Amino acid sequence: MNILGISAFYHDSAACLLKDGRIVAAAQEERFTRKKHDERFPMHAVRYCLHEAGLRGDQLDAVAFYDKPIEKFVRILKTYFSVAPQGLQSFMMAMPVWMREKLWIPLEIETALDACGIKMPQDALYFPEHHESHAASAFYPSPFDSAAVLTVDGVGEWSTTAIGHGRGHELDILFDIHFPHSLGLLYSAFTYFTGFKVNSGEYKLMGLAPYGQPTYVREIYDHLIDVKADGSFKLNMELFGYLDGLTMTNDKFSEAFGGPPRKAESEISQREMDLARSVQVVTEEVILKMANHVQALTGEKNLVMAGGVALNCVANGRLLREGPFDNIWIQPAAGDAGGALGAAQLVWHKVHQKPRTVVPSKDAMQGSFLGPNFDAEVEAYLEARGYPYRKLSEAEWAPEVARLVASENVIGLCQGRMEFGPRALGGRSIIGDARSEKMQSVMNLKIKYRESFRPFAPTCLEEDVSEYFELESESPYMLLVAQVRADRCIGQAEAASLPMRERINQKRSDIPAITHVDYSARVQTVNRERNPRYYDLIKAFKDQTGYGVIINTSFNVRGEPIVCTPEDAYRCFMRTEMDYLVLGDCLLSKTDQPEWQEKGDWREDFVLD
Amino acid sequence: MKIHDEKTNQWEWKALGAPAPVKKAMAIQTKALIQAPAMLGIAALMYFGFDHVVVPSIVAVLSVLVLAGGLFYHPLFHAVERGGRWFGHMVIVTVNWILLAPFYFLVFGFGRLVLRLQGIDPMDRAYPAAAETCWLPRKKIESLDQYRKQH
Repeated sequence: MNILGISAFYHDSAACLLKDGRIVAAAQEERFTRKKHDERFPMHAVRYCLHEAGLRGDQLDAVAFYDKPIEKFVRILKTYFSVAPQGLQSFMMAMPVWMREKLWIPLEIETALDACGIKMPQDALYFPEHHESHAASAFYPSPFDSAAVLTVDGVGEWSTTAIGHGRGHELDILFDIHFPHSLGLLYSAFTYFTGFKVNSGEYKLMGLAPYGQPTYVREIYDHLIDVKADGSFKLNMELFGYLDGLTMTNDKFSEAFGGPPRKAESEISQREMDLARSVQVVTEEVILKMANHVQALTGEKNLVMAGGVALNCVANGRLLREGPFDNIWIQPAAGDAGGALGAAQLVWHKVHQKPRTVVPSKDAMQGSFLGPNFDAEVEAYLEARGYPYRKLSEAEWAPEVARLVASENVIGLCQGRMEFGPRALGGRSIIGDARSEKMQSVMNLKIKYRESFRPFAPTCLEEDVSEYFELESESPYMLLVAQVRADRCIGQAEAASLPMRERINQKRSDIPAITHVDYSARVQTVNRERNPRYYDLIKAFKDQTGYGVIINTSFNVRGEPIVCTPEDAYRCFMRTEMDYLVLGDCLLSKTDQPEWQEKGDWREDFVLD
Repeated sequence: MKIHDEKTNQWEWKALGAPAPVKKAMAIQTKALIQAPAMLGIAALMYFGFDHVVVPSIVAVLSVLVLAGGLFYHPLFHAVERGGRWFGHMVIVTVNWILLAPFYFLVFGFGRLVLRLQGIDPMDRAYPAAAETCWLPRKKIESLDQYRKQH
């Protein structure tokens, strides 16, 4: 049975294909169209999924869309009923789109599939709820036979947060919290208020938090959120703008938090850092309370999570350390893209009552390497373009790339299948030497063209994780933050008194490039089974340097989707100051390449996030 | 390559992300030679057929600008084109507002008034919450047919 899962029309549209319950392919549309957070129907991703599965256009048995559009429309209408006569501007923007497109989702899907050359299966279009799709994406591929389920994001239809219980192939949502009361939207409100872009800048806010002090925590609890002992909460809508306006916060919010929102791209002040830290603390505390509650309800020792807030790896790390669960598994595509996967799996397991096969300590995500693989085509591509390269044999690939990393080169790595989800895990990554003191600023300013305060993440060998970090468990999807081991840290005492710029450039450990200002790191562990080449590379780096840890950041520049094809990778390589590019077996040196020429300023192609 | 090759069962998906080949645009001179007479024709129809003076005069002047711009000074032609696009956009926005704004105030404004009189807030905004918990119990899914519905 072939089930196509789709998420679309809001942000991060994606497609996923299940073949008899097995995840065969999954990809986000933005990777193909090169439009970040592309919300359009995932035409390219759908075609890729069928290609990967070797299916013809008439071989789909079911299509699952990740939410219930009419339910969402009802919520929007009720919102206007609750705020009119305010809210006219929002209404004027929303209604034409709903009338034109979002109210006719089945027709949109059928038309789009038809344009793809795919026959819509008869009477087999399914619409699980948004949070049910998230819950399914968290539970079904997890390595647990039974688990408590927690999903937290901005908003779906009505739910903004849900708790549930998964057992075997049964998955039940037990309780939820309804819009407008949303932890995700609270976080997004601060993202907006601190001058970052909602739906993409949340990650920056999390990265900024360690520079600040939690001075606004009391104000947040006093003015914004009423949290109960069981982690449920209500927001004080008097201070938010998203019900009746076009902004996340309003003037009352500005009054309560020391002035108007920061203008995008302007200087970041201590206020923004403190606000970031404060909302991060509150988010963590609420999540911890919710986790305690769902544990008490279900009696489980395993927790699975999804939804945009589950990408908050700082909160995840704290939950692992201080929470009531022995094991936590987080869907690597925890945002809306992962809804495509959850919707498809829900149809397979719940609608068709197919049992799960659980392999303890091995999830079904295949390392999240569910996208296209171009390794077999790289040579032909390079020959056709006339780009100079050196082909590496299997034996020399890892030692040679490791040697280049150890020599402080910045390397673009495009090998194997592309990752599904927002993190690059060694398939489409930029890598560098974690021991280098200059690497963080070089990578931020000359390669990624992004804010200098943003940290880089490490990848380390799974067996070595506790040598570098205060972490005993694996973290294959880079979704946990842990402290760098104290015996590796330097200058902790004087760090707090230094101004932000000096703290960025301060050497904080013997792996300074991946040690954030609070001595933490967003850890990815790698084992040979999930990604053999990447593992061999880090192992070779360890053999050469004694360190089994390197920098891993996504292969893109600010505002650009992560690269997909060798062509995307080559383009990004030539536009930035990367030193080497690895495409499958082929190694390209920047100095050997012909001069890169293109019309206009390529930075204008990307909207800054 | 076709979207799907039946013989090899290959789906085309890689090249689709690349920008579509740019369609060769019609030469500005040709555009001007088509648009200007058409505009002049419309102006003449309005003047002679419907006895209007102001609007046909504006259209006639614009047609001269289009012709002159298209043949001799392209920035002028582009400026008229941009102006036309802006005007079209404004017409759509205005029509939208004329149709939708009264609808909004009538339906939602009145609806809110009724709900307020009944003491109902669809957004449940009372703050802080009086209840000990804000978790809402989820209704059990009675039939799997629920998954076929959009609501």
